[in-house]
Amino acid sequence: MARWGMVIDLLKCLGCYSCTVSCKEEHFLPPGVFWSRPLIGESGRFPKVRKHIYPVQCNQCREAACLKACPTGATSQRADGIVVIDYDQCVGCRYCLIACPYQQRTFLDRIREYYPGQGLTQYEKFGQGRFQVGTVVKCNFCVDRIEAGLENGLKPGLDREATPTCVNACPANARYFGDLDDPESEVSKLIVEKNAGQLHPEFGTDPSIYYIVR
Amino acid sequence: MEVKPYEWMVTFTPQKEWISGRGLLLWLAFFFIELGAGLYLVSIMMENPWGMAAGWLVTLGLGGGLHLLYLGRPFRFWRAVMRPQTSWISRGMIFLVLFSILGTLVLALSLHGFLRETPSTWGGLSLWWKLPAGFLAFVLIVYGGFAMNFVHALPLWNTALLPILFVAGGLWGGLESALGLQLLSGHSGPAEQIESWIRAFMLGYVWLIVVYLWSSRYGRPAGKKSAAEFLHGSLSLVFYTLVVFAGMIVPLSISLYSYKSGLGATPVSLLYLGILCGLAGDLAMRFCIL
Repeated sequence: MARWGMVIDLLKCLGCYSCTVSCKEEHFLPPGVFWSRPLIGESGRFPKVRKHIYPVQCNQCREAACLKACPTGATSQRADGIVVIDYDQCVGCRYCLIACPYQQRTFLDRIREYYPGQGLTQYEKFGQGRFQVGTVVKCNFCVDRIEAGLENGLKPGLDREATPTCVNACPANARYFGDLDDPESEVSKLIVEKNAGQLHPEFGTDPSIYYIVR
Repeated sequence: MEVKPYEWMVTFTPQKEWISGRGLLLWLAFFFIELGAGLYLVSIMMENPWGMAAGWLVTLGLGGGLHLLYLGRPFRFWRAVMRPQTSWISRGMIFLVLFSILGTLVLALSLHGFLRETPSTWGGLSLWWKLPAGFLAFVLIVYGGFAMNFVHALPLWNTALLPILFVAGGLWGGLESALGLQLLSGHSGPAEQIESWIRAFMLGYVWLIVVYLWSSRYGRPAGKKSAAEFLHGSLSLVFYTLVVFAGMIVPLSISLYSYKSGLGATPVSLLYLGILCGLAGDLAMRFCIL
């Protein structure tokens, strides 16, 4: 069974927000909810100033803290490593939000309109039924696209229809997606060749997203 | 390879889910459950059924009710008992349900006088009722600390001292509440004994807070930053006025006065002040921690 993972090349990332916008579009995310977002900042003093961009999202950790925290089993981990949430089971205790060391979960206290006072657009109406107020949401590696692609014999990471939308949207080709358990996959080779690392390995979560920093 | 976030990324982001907006309900829920369970436990030991009733009411009515109000989907609360093997929220809910059954039964029997009619207080049939109920009350005091201790990313939570601190706070609060009830009801009872226990637990609680904050200096940068927030950051006003002055200095002073002059000679209003300040300090400390 594959274990899906991602490699993000920070040397290529532009901070253009394409991943953020494409994710919002794909999943009909309400205002204020971001499953994929870049953290952007600066360091140094003029004239030696550097800009740093860290695209972050749920790391689909192999040893997910949120999984152990969830009292109802709403958060579960598939055989392919993707951590998913069953909104029908979530009680909204937000223990997973607290437990996640990467702060990549969002609690939906209400679903806002993109144009307040003007009602929902057709796009919003279509997507609103996907979420439940009072539950927690997060990135799921576009699991619907992966499953649909696999059913049609496509390969996630290689075929765009079966690959997460943030990977497809990146204009700089800074994102790679594939099977971490396959040593011949592009992601596995990149991790080894570029010495890619995980965020906060000291938490023991074994994230499935790796970053190339040099 | 460990990816070290650049310094701008390590502007620590405090958790807000359990302390802002609706999260304030959880702060109060943890406090009332621990206070009520502490009062229940102390009252079992003191053989005070009315204290047990008050503790039961605070634990289930206030604590349990606030827990439910906090949930995003309260009517699904029954699902939260599904995974005691992993989640402390699940275990806490199970303990609460068991307490609501056994604690209620023991309370009813105590109010009826059934458990007082047995030959000895802590022997015979009454022990088989009171011990499990007391154990459940103790577990309710401590489970919140373990639930927070599980969170690795927050150093001030992820320490073995936190459950111990909560136990000390819960028992101290329970003793204070028991003394307060004793004074209110005007009944003669082991007030001197309760007061001496209050002194012991108070000193223990103060010592634990000192050790708790001191030990954070030797931990991760996030822990040091959190402790710094207590001592000279955004939480310093609450910490020094409510936790230190109201929660420690005032009760300690009053306790010292009552020790020297005797509990009978101490004005009742002063004792009430000490009790209220102690409870306020405990509540404020939990606010700072969360």
